[in-house]
Amino acid sequence: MKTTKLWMAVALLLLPLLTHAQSEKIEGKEKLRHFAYGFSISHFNVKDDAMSPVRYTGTSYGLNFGLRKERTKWLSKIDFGISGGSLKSIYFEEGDLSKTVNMGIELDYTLLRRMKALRQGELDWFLGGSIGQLGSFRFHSQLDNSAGIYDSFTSIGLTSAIRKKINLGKRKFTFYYQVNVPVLSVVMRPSFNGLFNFVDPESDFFQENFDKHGLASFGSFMRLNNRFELSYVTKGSQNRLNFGYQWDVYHYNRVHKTVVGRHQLSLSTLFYF
Amino acid sequence: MKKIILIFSLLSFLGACELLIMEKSPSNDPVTNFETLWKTLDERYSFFDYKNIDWNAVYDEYRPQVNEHMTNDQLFEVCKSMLNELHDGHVYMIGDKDIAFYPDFYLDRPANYNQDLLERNYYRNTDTKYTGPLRNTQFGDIGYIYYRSFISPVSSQNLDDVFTRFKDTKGLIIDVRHNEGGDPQYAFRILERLVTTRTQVYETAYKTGPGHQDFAEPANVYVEPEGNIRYDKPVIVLANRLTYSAANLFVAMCKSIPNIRLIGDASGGGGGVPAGAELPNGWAYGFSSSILSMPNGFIIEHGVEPDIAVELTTEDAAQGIDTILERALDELE
Repeated sequence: MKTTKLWMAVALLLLPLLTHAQSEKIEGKEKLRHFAYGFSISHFNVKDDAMSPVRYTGTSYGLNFGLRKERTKWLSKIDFGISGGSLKSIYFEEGDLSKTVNMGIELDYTLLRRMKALRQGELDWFLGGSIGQLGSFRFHSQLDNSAGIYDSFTSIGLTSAIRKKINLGKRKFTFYYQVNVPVLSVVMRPSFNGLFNFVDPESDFFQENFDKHGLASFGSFMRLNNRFELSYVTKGSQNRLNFGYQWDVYHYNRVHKTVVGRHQLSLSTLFYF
Repeated sequence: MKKIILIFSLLSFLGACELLIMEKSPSNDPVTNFETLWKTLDERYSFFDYKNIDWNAVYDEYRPQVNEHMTNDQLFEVCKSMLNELHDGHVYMIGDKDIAFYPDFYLDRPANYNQDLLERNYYRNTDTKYTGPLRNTQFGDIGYIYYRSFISPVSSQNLDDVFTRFKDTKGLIIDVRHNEGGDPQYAFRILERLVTTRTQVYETAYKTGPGHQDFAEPANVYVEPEGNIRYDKPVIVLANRLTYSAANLFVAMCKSIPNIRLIGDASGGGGGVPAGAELPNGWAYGFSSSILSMPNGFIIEHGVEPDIAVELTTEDAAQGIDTILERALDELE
C-alpha cells in the first residue's frame, strides 16, 4: 500500500513531464502564474539550550505548496511548507533515549522587483522584501513540563535573487537563487525554565511569550535563508518541474541560545494557470 | 561537471559554516555531567533562599567524589545524594537503570490513610460509584468524594453528575489523601463549583534568571464561579503527607475559600512547578522552578497545615474506623 501511494505521488509530480516535451518559449510571456506543490526531505542540526546542552540532529519530511506570479517588472511568491520528523542527541544515535519529535511550519510572502539584467542579459537580478512566519515545535518527552520547545519568528526582511538560464546536457534549465535576511521579528520562545504560567487559567500564553521575548533584530536574532532552484520547463503548458535545495540557519540568543540549521532538498511541480 | 563540483563544494561549505556558529556540545564524561547538573540547578532551582541551602557548599562536598574514571552507576549515586540535599519531592533524575527521587517528604510522618480500611468499612457497604476519577458515596446526609490523582482528568460532566447526586446533602467531604498531584487545572475545575465569588487563591512567581533571587513579579491567581450545578454547603477537605504537588496546591487554594475547612494532617508540599532538563549523557532530571504561595504570602513548599489536625490512630484503625473521616463527618453533622 505504501509503495502504491509513493508511486502515485511520484506520478503526480511527473505528470507535466509525461505529457509534454520541453518548451523553449517562455520569454514572450508578460504574466506567468504557477501553483506549486511538492515534497521535501530535510536534515536538521539543532543546538537549543532550552532543550539540551547537546546538539541534536535528525531528518524531517515535508510537503510544500506555493503560488508564484511574475510580470515584466515584478515577481511575487507565496511559499508554505510543513514538516515532521525526529531528532536525536549526537551522543545517542541508537535507541529511544533523547528522541524528540520535530515539527515545522513556514509561510513566506516575497515580493521582488526586477532590477536590471546583468552580464549582457544572461542574468536577471531581483531585489525586494518578504514577510514570513517560521515556526517549529520540538517535543522532548523526558523534560516534564518543559517538554514543549518552540520557535516562532514572524519577520519582515530583505530579499534578493538572481536567475539564469543554463544548459545541462541538451536540456535547458532555469537556475534561481534567493537569499533572505530578516530585519525585524516578533519572537516566541520558551521562558527561562521552559514553562508558561499554566497553573493560572487566566494566563495568556501568547502575551507571556511576547513579554519575555518581544521584538528582535540583528544581534539577538539572525537568520540566513538561501534557496537554490533548478527548473525544467515543459513544452506548451509552461508547467515546470522544480528541484530545490534550501539552506536555512538561524541564531537567537535571548534567554536560551538556539542555533538551528536546516538543509532541505525538495521536488515540486509548478502548474501554470 | 565543473558546475556540479562547484555546487557540491558550496553546499559542503555552507554545512560547515553552520556548525561553526553553534557552540560545541559539552563532552559526555562524568565531570562534565556533574558540573552541568550542579550549574543548571544553581541557575534554575527556585527554593535555595527559602530553604537556606548553601549550594556552593554542596558543590564543595560532592565535586571531589566525581572523577573521569568513575562508572555511570557511581556517578548516579553521587548525583542522587547531591539532589537529596534539596529536600524536594519535585526533584528527580532518570538514569539508565534507576530513578532518583526524595521520598522523605512523606516518610517522616504517619500515613494517616488506610485504603484497605476505607474499602472494607466505608465503601463496601454504601452505594459507591466511580464518576470519572471521582469515587463518590454518601454517608447519611453527607456526600463523600475520593480523588486519587490529579493526573486523571475531571470533566465538567463528571462534576455535574456528582454535584447533582449530592444536591440534597448538608455537607461534602473531598478526600485527597495520598493524591500525589498531576494537573492543577482539575483543582480549578472542582473549586469553580464551590466558590460563590471571584476569589484569589494563591500567587505564583517564576524564576526568570540565573540568580537565586531572579523571579518575576508574583502573579495573583483567582478562581471564578463556573458551571450550572454548584455546591454551596459546607465542605471539608481531607489531606495527609502524601497530598503533594497539584493536590497540595488544591489544599492551599481551599484555605482561601470561606466554606471549606481542612481536616487531617498537613499536606506534603511541593510548592514549585517542576521544570525539566537533560544532561549530556541523556539523563533527564526535574526540579522546582517557581514559588507558589497563599494570598497571605505563606509559601506552600513544605505543605499546608489543617484547620483541625487529626491523626488516624492505631486503635481506631484496628477497629475499622478512619479517625480523620469520622471527625469530618462529626463536623458536618
